[in-house]
Amino acid sequence: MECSIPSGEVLDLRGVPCPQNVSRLLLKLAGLETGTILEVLLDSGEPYDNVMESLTVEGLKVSQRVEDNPAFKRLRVIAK
Amino acid sequence: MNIYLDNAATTPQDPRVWSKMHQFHFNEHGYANSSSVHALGIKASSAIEKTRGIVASSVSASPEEVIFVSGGSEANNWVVKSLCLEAKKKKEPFYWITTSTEHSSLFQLIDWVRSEGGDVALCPVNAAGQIELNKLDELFRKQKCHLLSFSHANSETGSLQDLPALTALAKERGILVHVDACQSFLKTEIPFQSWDIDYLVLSAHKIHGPKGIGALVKKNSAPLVPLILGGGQESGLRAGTLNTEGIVGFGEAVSLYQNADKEYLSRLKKKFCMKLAKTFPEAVIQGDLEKSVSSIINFRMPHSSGKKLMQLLSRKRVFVSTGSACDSGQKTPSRTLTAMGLSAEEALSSLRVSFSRMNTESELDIFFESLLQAVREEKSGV
Repeated sequence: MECSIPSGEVLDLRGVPCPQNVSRLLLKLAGLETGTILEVLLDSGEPYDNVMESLTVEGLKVSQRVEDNPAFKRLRVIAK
Repeated sequence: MNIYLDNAATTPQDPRVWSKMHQFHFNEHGYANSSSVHALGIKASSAIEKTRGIVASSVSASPEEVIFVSGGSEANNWVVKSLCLEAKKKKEPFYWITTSTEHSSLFQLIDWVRSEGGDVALCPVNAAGQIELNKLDELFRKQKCHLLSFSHANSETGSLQDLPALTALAKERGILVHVDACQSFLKTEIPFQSWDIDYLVLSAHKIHGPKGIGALVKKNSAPLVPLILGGGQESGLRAGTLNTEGIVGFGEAVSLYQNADKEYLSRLKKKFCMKLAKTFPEAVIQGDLEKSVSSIINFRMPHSSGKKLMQLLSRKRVFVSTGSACDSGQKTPSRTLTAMGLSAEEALSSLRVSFSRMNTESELDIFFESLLQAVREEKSGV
């Protein structure tokens, strides 16, 4: 069973262009302790696709998709 | 051997900065466009965002408040022109207050602002080169002011302004504050957020970083018109492929700057002043040493020509300046020094010596030996 702690922080990357959204997310996650959960807001479409691809490449896991609407996604990512 | 004491004009790049940029580009494949969405683009973008965080934390700002620019002149022009054009669009008379001791990148905007229908007031400074609060307050009362712009540390004399007091006075009246901190950055604390600064201008090449890169730190609520439209870089305010290597070098230069450097500069300054008083008792230091940045000293040599001494020193491979670099081609006396109350003759007999952590105490000894020779040569008409 995974032991994860919510960071209590929300990283709002809506409106942040690619790949700046990816680099900001990776930088933020790198500063968190392993297992910490970060809530992230992302624009739907290409920004979301690019971030998901980078998370896969980096071996990072999404613990939960909290909100999924046409304009944006809210998800929780686990820092490794 | 070169004795370089013109660090206020620019500093030699730290070899570690150069090495970091070289390594990033060639060994780490950091050459990709930071807007590309493939892995190398993300690598470049990540390096930029990392530096944005480093620069932000060096002035207690948020990363989102940092915009990378080419340097201080660009940022100064951008802020003033932006606010002037916005006011014009709203058909409001733009009223800008600055001082006559500013760097050319601000001073030359005076005519430009007036040509756009704006009004400019120059706040006087005292003999130490500092803005007097009561004089500034009088100017604030004249008409609705949009923007107050000034250098935190003067580039010619090193005089430091009382930034928190000036900002507090401006804020009482809802006036935006724009501070050129190119000469004081990292040499003294500048808490951007707690001092309530709206626009803060920083440059990399004054701190052993690369030329052609700097930052405009802007409060999120402070207005700014986009400078370049295009690919949406820098929050859509300054489009164009980012200078990734320069930004990486900027970050490294900031990271390498230590508190020990500040202490070392203070020591050099103290030693310089003692030697100056001993070697040339007639020399007069301009400004208040207690209220100036530790990297710059401006002094006059009565009955000498500052320019002639600078040329004679240059022949001996000792490099100093007679004013800020952008003004050094001009023959007229320094407007900064004359604004501080010096006569034209006194201003023309002045020299600026500026240090960096790369200078040694023994270089100061060589400087004074060379200056003694230069003074003798000048008197004998060499």
